[in-house]
Amino acid sequence: MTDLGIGSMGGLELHSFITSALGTAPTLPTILSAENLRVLARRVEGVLA
Amino acid sequence: MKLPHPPPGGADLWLLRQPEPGTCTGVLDLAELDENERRRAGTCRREAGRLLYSSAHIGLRRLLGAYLDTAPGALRFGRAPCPCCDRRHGRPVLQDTESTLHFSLSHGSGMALIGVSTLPIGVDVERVPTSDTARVCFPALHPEEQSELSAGAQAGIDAISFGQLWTRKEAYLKGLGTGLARDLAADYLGDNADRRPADWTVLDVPCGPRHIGAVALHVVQQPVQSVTVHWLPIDSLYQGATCVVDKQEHLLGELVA
Repeated sequence: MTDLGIGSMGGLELHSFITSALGTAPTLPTILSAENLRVLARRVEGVLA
Repeated sequence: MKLPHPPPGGADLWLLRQPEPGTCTGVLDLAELDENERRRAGTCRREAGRLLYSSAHIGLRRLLGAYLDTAPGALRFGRAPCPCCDRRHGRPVLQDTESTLHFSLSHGSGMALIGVSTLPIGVDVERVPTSDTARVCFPALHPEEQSELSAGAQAGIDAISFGQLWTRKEAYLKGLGTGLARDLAADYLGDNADRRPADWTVLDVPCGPRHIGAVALHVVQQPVQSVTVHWLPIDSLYQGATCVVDKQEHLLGELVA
């Protein structure tokens, strides 16, 4: 279970973004367990965009 | 101040709005948080995020402390076993207490929602999503939820309807204890309450014009009797404020602010 559900929609958006770019992605709970989802999203977008 | 427990089959919901950074009239007592909570607060890069996380967790501790007549800082939190794998990352629980109270906390984008009940409970509050977010997340929903949202949606998915459905789903999954590890398409949490998961009552919670919320209550042992929404003012969480003030008479005014 992720920590209190923070950023769940953002996590799912990030999951979809990674999947469409790479064809695969970490599971949604793995993404949502990141210490700082916003930082992770910016870094992933910076690499894949 | 001691708060009476919610009645059997009842739930108290507490809404907390994060003040704008720089407008606080008091200081939050971070000493009431445990080491893990302080560490998590420290990972928030923005002041607003730190403020919301800290105030939500201090609010949870002050409320549970008032219900249980215990010092907020003395409460110890743990996790129940996950229903999927039995590892201890399921619903948050209180340790070292005989209390039968259940609780759930959600916070995001300026608002926190705390639920306390005699029944297993899950809550969720979210800012109304953008239409882009709704469009991206839409395929993950239950097929019948997708059909409902698509019906008559010529200009795209309605973000408020999507957000309301999402908060119902997340509140239910938090109450269940699986969180988002459970397939989002596995359960129907659409507008037809009769088709939602058996043994659960899921209600939409009014959270003002910019947020949406929901609560899920497990009703195997007793039906839901009453759910009361309270306002938790931020100034009741500052250092030196010893009581939780229920300004329920201000709830509507706060919601439209």
